[in-house]
Amino acid sequence: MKKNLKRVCAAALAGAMVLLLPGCSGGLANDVNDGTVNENTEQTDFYIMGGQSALSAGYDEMEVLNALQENVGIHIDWETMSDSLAEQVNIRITGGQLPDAFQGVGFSNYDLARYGDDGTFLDLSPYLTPDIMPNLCAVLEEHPEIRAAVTMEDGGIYGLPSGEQMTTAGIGVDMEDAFSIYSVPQYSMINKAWLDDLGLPVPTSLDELHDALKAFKENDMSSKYYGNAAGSTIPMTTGFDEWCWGQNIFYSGFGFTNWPNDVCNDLHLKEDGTVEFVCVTDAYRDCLTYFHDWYAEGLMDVEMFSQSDSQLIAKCQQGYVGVSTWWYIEELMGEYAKDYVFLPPLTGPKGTEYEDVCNVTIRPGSPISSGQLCITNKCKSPVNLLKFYDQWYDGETVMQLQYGPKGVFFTGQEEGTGMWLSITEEESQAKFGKSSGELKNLYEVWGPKLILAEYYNSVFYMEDRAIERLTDLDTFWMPYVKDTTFYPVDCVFTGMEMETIDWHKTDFETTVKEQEGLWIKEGGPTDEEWEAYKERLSEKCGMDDLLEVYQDAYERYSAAE
Amino acid sequence: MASTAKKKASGMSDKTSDIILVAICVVVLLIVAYPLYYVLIASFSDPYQVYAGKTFLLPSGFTLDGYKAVFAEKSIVSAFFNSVKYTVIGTVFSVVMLYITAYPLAQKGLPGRKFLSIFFLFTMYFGGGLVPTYLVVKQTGLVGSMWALFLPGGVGVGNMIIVRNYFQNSIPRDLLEASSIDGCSKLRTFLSVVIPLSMPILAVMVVFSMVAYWNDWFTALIYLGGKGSPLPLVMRNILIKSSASASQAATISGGYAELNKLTELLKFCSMIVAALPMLIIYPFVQKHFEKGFMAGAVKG
Repeated sequence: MKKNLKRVCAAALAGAMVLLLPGCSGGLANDVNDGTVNENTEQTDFYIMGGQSALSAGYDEMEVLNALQENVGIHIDWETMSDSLAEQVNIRITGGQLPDAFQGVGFSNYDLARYGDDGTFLDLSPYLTPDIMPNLCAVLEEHPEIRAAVTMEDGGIYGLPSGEQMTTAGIGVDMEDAFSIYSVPQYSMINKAWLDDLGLPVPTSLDELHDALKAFKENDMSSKYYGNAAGSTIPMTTGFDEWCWGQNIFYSGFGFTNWPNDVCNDLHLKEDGTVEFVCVTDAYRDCLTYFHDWYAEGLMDVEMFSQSDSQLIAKCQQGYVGVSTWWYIEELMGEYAKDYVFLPPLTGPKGTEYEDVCNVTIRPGSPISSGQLCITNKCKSPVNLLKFYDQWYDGETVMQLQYGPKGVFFTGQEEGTGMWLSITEEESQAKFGKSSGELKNLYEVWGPKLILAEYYNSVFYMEDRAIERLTDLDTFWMPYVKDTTFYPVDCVFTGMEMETIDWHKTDFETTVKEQEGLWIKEGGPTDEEWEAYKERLSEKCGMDDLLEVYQDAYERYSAAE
Repeated sequence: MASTAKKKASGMSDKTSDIILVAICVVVLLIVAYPLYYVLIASFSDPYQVYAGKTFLLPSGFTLDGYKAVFAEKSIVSAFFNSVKYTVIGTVFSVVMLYITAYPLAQKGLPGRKFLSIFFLFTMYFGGGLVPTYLVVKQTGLVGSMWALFLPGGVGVGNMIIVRNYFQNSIPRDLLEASSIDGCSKLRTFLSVVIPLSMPILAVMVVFSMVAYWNDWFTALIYLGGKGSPLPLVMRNILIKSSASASQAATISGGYAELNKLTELLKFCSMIVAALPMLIIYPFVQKHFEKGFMAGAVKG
């Protein structure tokens, strides 16, 4: 027995050595990350690895990109993929088989800090000079907040900025008052034809909606009105805490809407500049207690916690559904769309303190990221490559990289303003046999594309449906937003803070979501359950640490502004 | 004999018991076969009608769009032949490796036998993980070569133990002795006595390896670098190509619902296309299957 044990140990040791060996051979010399410019300009052939849209045929034949390469006299070999990008990139970085740059990978700030620290990615801050990158420098001059968003805690910039600022500025709202297209992600909708048939008004309070849903169910409207099978009516169905098809909009009657978002779910910045988690407020507790009654009465779909968006679309396109949420009405409801109207955010239940409450909070827009273009320590002449990328920070170029070339996606310039016009749906079908969305997917280049809000009213018009959605946002939904503060998505966190977030955030979000679902399903919390829940969040899920991190980061952010 | 007599005494005729058995088998068959059939009809149906629960025995909203999209992919034919190639070569390689590993380990007199057994067993409990394995494969220069699919996992240890047990327990020692008395060399014994006697387990191992190589896309994804992709990988790419995330739909004017419909349909179609060849081959090998599997395992 003893002998066997020895052998096992020996085998284990041998195994461990085999595993450790490759680690030793990975020592890459990094002599260029010392905050100075590497003046070398010999290299003109580059090898770049990265992501592409699923429909793209690769970048070799992309005329816009080829022209940009010619302008600065370089040639790029592309290795791009739409699939399993993260695995492939990780393998390359760990294996030391680095390309000259990673484009369109989308590294998180955590990755950027790590790879910047170990010298894998070059610090680009010394290169951001008007000599090397005139366009980008002009942009950063005008928008210091973009520079702040991509500067890591150690002062380094490990990637070029990217972001898409699609806001109501594109439909003529002043830049200062403009809001992101993501501000209110869920548009709730209700079947007006059913309401009319029953002689009911469009609800304005949760009580009225409750009665309407009850009437839908009792009269089996799907069967009665659309001739579907008996009993097929689903009064209300949504996803659960899903970003554009969740139930969160209905919480407005309790004074909050806890949108899933990129910073941290349930995090809310109050007007006085303090942050809180709405998932431990009394309003949240009352809200879940209230909606359990709906669930118990069969007004909310039993599948709401588990269904996929495909299942939701399937139900809605059969005409089974009275109330739901989505990005647009047409897309979700298909041929029944004409019967649906927006269901406005509702006031709280009568006879409670929430009677006159109706508040929609807004969700931050998409962040400025620096994970879309990172130059590695393999690159001998970063200057040449950066000159190539500087061309991307020009409105007309970035528009073609985002949507497609002039002459394909952009059909011409409007007289007078010189704004570029996008191809319409009909033209696209007639000329290319594809929807304009597919056309965009075909030509889109992933990478450091910075599409500033002002481009939409100076360089090109955004797509019709985006305009439509923003118009709805501006005229119908924003009036329900009383408090327009939201946690800035571009807050920069220190290394320690990022670790706290990395450690706790997922745990915290999952725990909250699971408990939220359970309480809706099985009845709101008793006092003990509520206390135990709060204790669990504080002690096991790091809620207090997270809150502190978000508060500190916000204070630094607002001080810098 | 006594037991049959007893059964008869209890009043159940052969005929009734047959009827009951057949009835049970039919129910079990239906339970097992319906999901397969359902996937088949779903691959011809409007996926939103499938998800709305409208499909039961016949396709609803009949469509061939899914199959059209699959066969519109030019690389599908070459992918099919790639898969056949990898499956055939991989299966032959793996079975040979299994045999030449398991047979020596089945010999009681092999020096260091216990150590070797533990050495193999160890790998069943501990693995290096993806990145270290990739590094080893890279340093041996196999990345981009088809051999990267076979060499790193050439000996399936679990299978090897089954084969070893079979050799130990199901091939009579006397037979081996007899052959050596008749003048067979060790090699001749292996080739002319052991292999023919182990046909049932051979069939099992062929099926195991075949199914594993046919279904494997991850190894190909990691090591082949996009060249010579096998069928499942191409199917997966087709599926991914057609999927558009809801967040993209925000700016796509063509509409998420329509794109997503095709994606859902492709899920069913790709299942059928990828599984069909295996479903066709399976019955031919299956008759050896159960016997061989039990033979190795029970006495282990």
